[in-house]
Amino acid sequence: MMMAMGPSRRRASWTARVGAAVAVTVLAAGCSASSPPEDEQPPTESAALRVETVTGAERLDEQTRTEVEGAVGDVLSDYVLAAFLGEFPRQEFVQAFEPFTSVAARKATRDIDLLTAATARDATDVRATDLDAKLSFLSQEGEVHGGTAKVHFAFDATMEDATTRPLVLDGRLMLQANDDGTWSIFGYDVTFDDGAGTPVEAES
Amino acid sequence: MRTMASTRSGTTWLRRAPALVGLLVGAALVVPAGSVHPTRISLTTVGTAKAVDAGDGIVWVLALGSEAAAGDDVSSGLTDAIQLVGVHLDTGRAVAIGLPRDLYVEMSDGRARLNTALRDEGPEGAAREVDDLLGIEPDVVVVTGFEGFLSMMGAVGDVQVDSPTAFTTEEGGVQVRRGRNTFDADEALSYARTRETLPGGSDFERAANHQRLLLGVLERLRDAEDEAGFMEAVTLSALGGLQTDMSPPQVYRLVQALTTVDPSRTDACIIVGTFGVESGASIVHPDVEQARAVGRDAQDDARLQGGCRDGSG
Repeated sequence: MMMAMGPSRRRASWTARVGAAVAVTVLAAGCSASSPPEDEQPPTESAALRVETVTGAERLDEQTRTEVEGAVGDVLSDYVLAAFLGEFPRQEFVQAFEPFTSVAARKATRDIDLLTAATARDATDVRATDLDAKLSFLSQEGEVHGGTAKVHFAFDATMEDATTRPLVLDGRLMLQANDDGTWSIFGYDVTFDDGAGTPVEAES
Repeated sequence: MRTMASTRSGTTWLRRAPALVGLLVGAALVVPAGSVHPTRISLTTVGTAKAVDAGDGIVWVLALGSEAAAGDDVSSGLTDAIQLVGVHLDTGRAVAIGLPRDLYVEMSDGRARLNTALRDEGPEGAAREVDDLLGIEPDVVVVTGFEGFLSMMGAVGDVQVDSPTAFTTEEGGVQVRRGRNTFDADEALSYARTRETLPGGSDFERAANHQRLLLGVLERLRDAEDEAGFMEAVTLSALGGLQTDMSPPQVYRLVQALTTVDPSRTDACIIVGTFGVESGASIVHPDVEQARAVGRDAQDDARLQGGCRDGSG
């Protein structure tokens, strides 16, 4: 299952999307058949979010599996968009925690530098280069109660001086199924590399 | 496939988290003597963050191990394992307070051994007795029997347990050596049940072994939590192996929250007392003063800053 992240946000029904994705799609305009002239700035379109179930869905029917993958994909994409993409430069990142449970959101604000692109707030643009989520579901008697998304989210942040900083978030996001069919993130265990290299001069 | 982007704006900005570069910087500056070629290198800034919402503050779990026969309701059995475990969800600390089964306590229809509380008064009654003794009301009561224990330990996998003494288990003939041991599910059950062949043959030692086993399980959970499906498999086994009124999502969140506990930041204590005999049965008159003091010490921060107060120093 894939979804693309680009410059204009639009919510779409997951019912139109089916299946699990098996490949990354990077929608760089330069790779398309109608490549722009070299002197034009290529659009900064982002990689698609790839969502793949790896465990826990063995006893789910196809419809249920598609629905839960879609619901989790919605939550992850909402988080990625608000945490790493959108307009830059900007100062506001806490809206990234809207898909979190209240306690998890409160804790996440303390870790905002490690859960969002806040340390690259001065960037002029951020583009996703790889968005991968492998899902493990907790299901019992046909009902899905929660799951873990093992994520690898990579971005390129273009800074004011035109240099590029790679941002990489790896780890686990823990999710629960809510009674209304939506999902929330109730925990995280991540490593974040903000690409802010610290120059060190050494002799060799 | 769809195209999305956010158009967020605002002014909120929170403090920057500390960066872990010092060690790398130090390492980078160690150069062989006589090196003369300046090199400019770049060290990236990497940080980790972990938190789980399983409630606020401390969650107190009363964990009971029942001797009910296979196939019987675990609530109908006597409890040979009684541990009150406090997990601080904000600090990553935890405390385990072991209550020997023979503690002679006041129950609703007279004095009796604590291990009868579950059978005679149910989970709420067992929680009430623990509250009366320690002054800490359990938030959750979980009960398991032999089958449930084996199922859960099977999902957890082999655990490593540090033993201060060597002994052979009463059943299964497991040779427990002083130092680190690796137990599979069956060996872990034999280890947890053994009392008579412990060096002192006491239930205090057995309760301490239960705490060592809990610590081994915690370390195993933390070691394997990144494996795809591991935490879900453990939770599924807990849902089948535990009797509790927690919902499946609550159990899942609690299992995930356990891994936020740093094993090196845990405290453990056994409530002691004086031996006696009542109606021909061995009992232990609890050291109420110790129990209350330990409860007061632990209740706000899941720590025992004043120690166990059991005379061991």
